[in-house]
Amino acid sequence: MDKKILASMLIIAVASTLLGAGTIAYFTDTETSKGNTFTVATGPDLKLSHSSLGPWTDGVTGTCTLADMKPGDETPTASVFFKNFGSVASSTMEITCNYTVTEETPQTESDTDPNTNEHPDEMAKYMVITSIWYKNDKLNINCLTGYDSYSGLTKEDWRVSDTDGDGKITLYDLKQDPLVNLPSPDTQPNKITQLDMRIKFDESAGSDFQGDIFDLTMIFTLN
Amino acid sequence: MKHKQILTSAFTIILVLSLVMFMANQPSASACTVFLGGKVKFDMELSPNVPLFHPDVDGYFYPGSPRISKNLKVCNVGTIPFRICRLDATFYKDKQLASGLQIEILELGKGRGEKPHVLYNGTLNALKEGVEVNGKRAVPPKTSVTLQISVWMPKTIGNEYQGLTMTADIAVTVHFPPAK
Repeated sequence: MDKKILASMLIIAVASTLLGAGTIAYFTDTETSKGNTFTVATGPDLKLSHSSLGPWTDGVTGTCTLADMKPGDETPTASVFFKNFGSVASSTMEITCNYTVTEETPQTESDTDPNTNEHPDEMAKYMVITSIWYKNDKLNINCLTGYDSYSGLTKEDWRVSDTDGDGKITLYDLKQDPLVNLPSPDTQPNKITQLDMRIKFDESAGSDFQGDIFDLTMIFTLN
Repeated sequence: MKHKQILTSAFTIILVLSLVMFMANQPSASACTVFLGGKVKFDMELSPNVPLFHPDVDGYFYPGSPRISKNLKVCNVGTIPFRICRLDATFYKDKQLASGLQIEILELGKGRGEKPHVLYNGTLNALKEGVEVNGKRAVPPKTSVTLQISVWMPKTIGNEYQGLTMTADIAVTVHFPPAK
C-alpha cells in the first residue's frame, strides 16, 4: 500500500515538474538607469524692435509710413532690428511681405479703379524697393543685388529678383521671390541683425490708385 | 523497504527541483541577487549609476537636433553567465514627449572588428510596454557588455513638443541560462 502511495506521489511530482518545465524560462535580473532627463528647446523666438537697444516685441508697427503719397514720393529709410529670444539658435532668416489695399470712402471721383482692394498686386507692382539692406557689423548685404560687401559673397537667395520682368524691383517681386537663407541674428557677434528699406511710389502709377491705402506687412521667419 | 527508500529519495529530489524551477520562473520586479546554493550567484549591475542624459550637459532637443549618445555598461557581478533579454522604460512629467523622441540601443562589439548589434531602434514611447531583445553575446562572470544609447528628435517633429521636459528610467533585464 505504501508503495502505491509513494508511486502515486512520484508520478504527481514528475508530472508537476514536467508541466512546470514547459513554462519555466529563465532566471532574470533587472537593473534601471534612473533619472534620465530630456528637454525640448523653446524657439526660435524672433522679436523685433525699431532700435538695437529694444524694447523687443513680437511685432512692430508704423515702421514705414507715407501719407498723401504721390507718384514719385519715397519713404525715408525704415529700420527693423531682429533678435532671437528662443533657447535654440537659429541659422537662417527669411524675409517676405504681404499687403492689402483699402479703397477710400467715399470714393475719389478720379480713382479710375474703385476695386484695387480686390487685386492689391496691381498696386504693389508700383511700390518700388529703391533700397534694401540686411546688415550687421560683419554683414552688409544689398538685397537688390545679393552682394555682401563685408564677405565679398554674392548669393541669388539674398536678392529680390524682377519676377514680372517690368524692370523694377517692387513689393510684388518680394512677395513672389522672398529673401531666403540670410544669416540669422544668432550667427552675428552681437546676435542682432537689421533690415533697412526705402520704398518709392513709382512715377508711372496712374489714377487707378488715387486715394487708396496700401497696408504693407513685412514677414520675418527664423529657421 | 529498499523500494520505499528509493522512491522517497526520488520524490524529494523532484520536489526540490520543482521548487527551484518555480522560483526561477518568477519575474524579477527590480534589482535582485539570486543565490543558487552557497557559491552560485546571479547578479547584474549597470554602470554608471547616475543619470546618463541631462539637459545641463547635453543641451536641448529640437527638430533635427544631433543624436546624443551615452554608454551604459552591463556588468556581470555574479558567478554565472547571462544575456540581455529585455528593455523597458518608465516616464515621468511630460510623458507625451516620449512619442517625439527616437532611441537606438546598440550592444557594442568587442574590439574594432566587431560590428555593434542593434537591440532596439524606435520611439522611446514604445519602450513603455517593454521589448524583448536578443543580446548578441553571453556575458561571462566578472565581465561586462557596453550598450550605446542614442536619443534624438526627428526633423519632422512639430511645435507641439516645444518646452516639454520628461524624465525616463531605462531598465535592462538579463537572463540565465544565456542561451538565445
